[in-house]
Amino acid sequence: MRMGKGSIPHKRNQAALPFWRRLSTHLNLYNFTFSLLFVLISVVIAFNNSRQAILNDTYNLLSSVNLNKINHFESWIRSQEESNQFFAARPQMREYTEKLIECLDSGGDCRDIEQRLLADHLRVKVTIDGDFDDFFIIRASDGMVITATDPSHIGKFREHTAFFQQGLLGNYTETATYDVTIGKAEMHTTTPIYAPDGKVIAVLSGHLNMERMAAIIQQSSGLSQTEDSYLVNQFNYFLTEPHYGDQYALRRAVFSDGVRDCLAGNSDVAEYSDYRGVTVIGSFHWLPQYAVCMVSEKDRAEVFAPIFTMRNQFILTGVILFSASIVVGYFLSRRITNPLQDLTLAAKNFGAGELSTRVDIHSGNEIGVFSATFNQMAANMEGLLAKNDALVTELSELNQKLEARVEDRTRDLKEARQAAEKNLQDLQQEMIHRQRAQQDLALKARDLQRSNQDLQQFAYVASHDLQEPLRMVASYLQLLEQRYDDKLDDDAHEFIGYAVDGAARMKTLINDLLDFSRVGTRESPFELTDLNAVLGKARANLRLRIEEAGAIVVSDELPTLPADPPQMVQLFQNLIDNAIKFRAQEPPRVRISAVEQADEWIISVSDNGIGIDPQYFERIFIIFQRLHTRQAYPGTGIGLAITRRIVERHNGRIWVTSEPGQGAAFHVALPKHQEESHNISETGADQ
Amino acid sequence: MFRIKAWIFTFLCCCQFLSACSPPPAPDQITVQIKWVHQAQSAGFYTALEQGFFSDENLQVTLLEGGSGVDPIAMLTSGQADFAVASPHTLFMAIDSGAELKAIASIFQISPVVFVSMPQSAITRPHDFIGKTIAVVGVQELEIQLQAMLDFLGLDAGAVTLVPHSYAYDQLVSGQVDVQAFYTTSGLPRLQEAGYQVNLIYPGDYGVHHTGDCIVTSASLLEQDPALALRFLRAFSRGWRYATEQQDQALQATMRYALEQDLELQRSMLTAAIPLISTGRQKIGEIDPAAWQALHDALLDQGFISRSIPLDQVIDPSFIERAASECRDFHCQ
Repeated sequence: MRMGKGSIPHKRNQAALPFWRRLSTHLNLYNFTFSLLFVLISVVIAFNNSRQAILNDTYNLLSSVNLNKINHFESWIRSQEESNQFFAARPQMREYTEKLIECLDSGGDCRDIEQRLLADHLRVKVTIDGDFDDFFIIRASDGMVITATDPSHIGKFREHTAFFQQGLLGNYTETATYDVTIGKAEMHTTTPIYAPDGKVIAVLSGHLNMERMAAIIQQSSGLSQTEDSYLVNQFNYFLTEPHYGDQYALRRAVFSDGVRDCLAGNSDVAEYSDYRGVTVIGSFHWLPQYAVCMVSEKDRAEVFAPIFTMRNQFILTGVILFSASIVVGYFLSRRITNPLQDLTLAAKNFGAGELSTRVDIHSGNEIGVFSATFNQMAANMEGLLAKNDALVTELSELNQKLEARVEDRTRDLKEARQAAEKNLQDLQQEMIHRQRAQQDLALKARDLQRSNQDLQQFAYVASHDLQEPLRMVASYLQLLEQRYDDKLDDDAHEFIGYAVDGAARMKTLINDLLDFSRVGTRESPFELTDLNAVLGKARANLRLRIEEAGAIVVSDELPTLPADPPQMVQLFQNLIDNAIKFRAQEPPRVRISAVEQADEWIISVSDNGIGIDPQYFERIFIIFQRLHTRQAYPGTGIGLAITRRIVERHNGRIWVTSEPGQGAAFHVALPKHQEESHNISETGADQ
Repeated sequence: MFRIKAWIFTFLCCCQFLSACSPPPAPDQITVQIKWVHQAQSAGFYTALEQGFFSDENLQVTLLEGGSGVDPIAMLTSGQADFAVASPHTLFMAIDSGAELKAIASIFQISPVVFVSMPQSAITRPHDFIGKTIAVVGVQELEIQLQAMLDFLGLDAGAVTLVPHSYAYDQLVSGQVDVQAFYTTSGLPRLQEAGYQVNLIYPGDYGVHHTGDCIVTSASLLEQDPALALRFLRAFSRGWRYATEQQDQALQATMRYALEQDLELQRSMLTAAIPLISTGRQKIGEIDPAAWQALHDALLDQGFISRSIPLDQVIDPSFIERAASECRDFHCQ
């Protein structure tokens, strides 16, 4: 890690690149390939050279071994032939053979001659000379075996065999053939036996010891462990046992490339697969005089053992060299790729904003120059970015000022809004207060109504209960006057008269008061009331008064509207009575009319009476208020108070228009419709 | 992936194209009449079948089992067999009778006939046959060889008593007969298997050098389809070569066919047969004209044939010569 002052201790980020794209991988791969090629080529060249050298040596060695075997074989055969020849040429051999043949031809007993021939010559020869197994003497005339070391042969005919036919002519050795009679391979060397006159009388056949011959051929040169030499006949059959064979002679054929080439008459050295299927290097020579092939072979594995060892050494050396080159190559590539990775990391850090990042420079090569250039670039960039930062700071300050101003404005607006909200709250508070006042008012109105009802109740109860003592006072006054009439003086009478009158007035007052209070307590529910009928009843009730006063009461058509009929009757009765009472000189004329307004009817009762001074227009409706003396106009002054009270109960209005001496008109405004609640509350109050 | 598929497709197309160009010809059906029951003496045929040597020649071979009562020559002349294994003398006699047949290969270079006597009889050579009873009658080959042997030795055939031959050895071991002829490839191993030590008198030691069984076919087949005969002989040659060298495998192949499932007996038969087939003097299957001439002369002498027959009417060695030269190491070129 060779990072500059601003470096963050990052690990080299190799994972950023897939390994096959990394420069180090490529370098290592090139290095690997070249190392491998170098080692392979070196090994192949060295191996081939060594192989060729060893092969040449082996070829030469095997050739000479094979030629040596041939020499041994031929000299052995030759020596057996010569031995046989000398044996046949012995005078005693020739003599006894001739005698035996003569004896046999004559048909006599020849056993003595035969035994001497066998005992003195043939058996001795077999015993002394281990190169022969058996000897025959074959009669030349017919090919019959006349004597033999193996008696089973005697009497048999070999007239058709090559060794007999050729043996008649001279020394001959026949390659091995299978003898059915004795059940094994045999090899004969034959030579003629001559009579003293030079005529061939028989053939001496020596049966060669095949084991001895094979031993001679197999005799190892001592130069090799896998050396194998054998003879093959013209039909590919083994004549001698090979090193790795048992009972192969004339039992097994061999068809290796070497033998095939050899039987075609060639002599050579070659590499081929032998009778075992093992790859060998073999030298072979064709021996035409015996029609056999001599083969000497050596396993290739043994031949090449040294170069296999050498190959292994080469491979070991190669592996070491190869590994070393890989290691060296690896570190070499690191020397290139590490600075590059440092640069990459530095560039990355720089890009991430660490402007002080610099790369350490460790070499003066191209990468060093590149690193220096990078550092220069980083420095330049850092300067530029510093200027840029200053500009940004300035801009940011301006921005902050602007933001402060905006904030002030916003605060003002906020305050104004808060004030408005406060006003609204005050307004709401006000409305709440008003509502509360209204509620208080309603409560007070209810209290007032209750106290009013209480008052009515009081008035009713008081006036009702007052009547009884008053009646008692009046009764006892009258009784006092009647009983003590004569005993009382005039003053007393007068006084009593005043008291009775007072009691009578008081009784009237009480009755009036009772009537007045009854307007609130004795009431009927509103119903649609025909005012014409109501007026009729009132006129009927006042009939006497009307006739008495000679009054004329006229009426317009009156409406039908919701009202309490008895109270309506009382209303008309009071007003008409009032009109008659305050009459002028001429007979009273009462007129009742009705005018329809938007939602009410105005009923007017006008007369031609004395009229009312406008200053008394209000007073006349107050209870017990009188404008005139009792003497002028009787009455307690309760009638209009009751009337007004009836009108008010009907939610109407009553007023008077008049001029003194000109008559008066009482106007009653009654609504066309009554609210049910009012009615209910009124009836409720009555209970 | 696409490339691999493309290559496979191309490869398959090529295969189809090539196979369309050279459809494998249907194998030629041939029938071979062997001489005797299935046993080791025919091991070469079994190995050729087992090892696929006939298939290599595109031949489908049916082996017809022989036995007493089966006349291989008659099977040939009637057209029931294409090739037959027969004794050479029967071929001579058939040709003498006008059949147009030829031997194209010898299986046994040396006749497997041997005369057997019990050791206590002291009969060790043909000269000892005089005045004895010999079981040969009924098997012409045995009669011919006995007569030829006696003729060669100048012995009087009238001085021996010939009695009917039997393939069993009871009459020999019980002393009913003094000498009985056997085949070294079948009867003799059976006798030796039973533990008898016997004297063996080979005709080959007494001037009789006849060959044994040979491959016979019709002259017309050789004329019309010589290639078929060559292909057959190539497979035959390889089969016997394989049998002589890989005796264990030959024995296994034999055991799949053999009538007598006696491994040791079959092994003895094979061991006896191999030296007669592979003598070290000739190639396997080679025809030795001298031996055939000797047989011819003997047959003529003994009156089995009525006339002298030129050898080229009886044998054609050229096929086996060519087959042997084309094949090596069990493979043919």
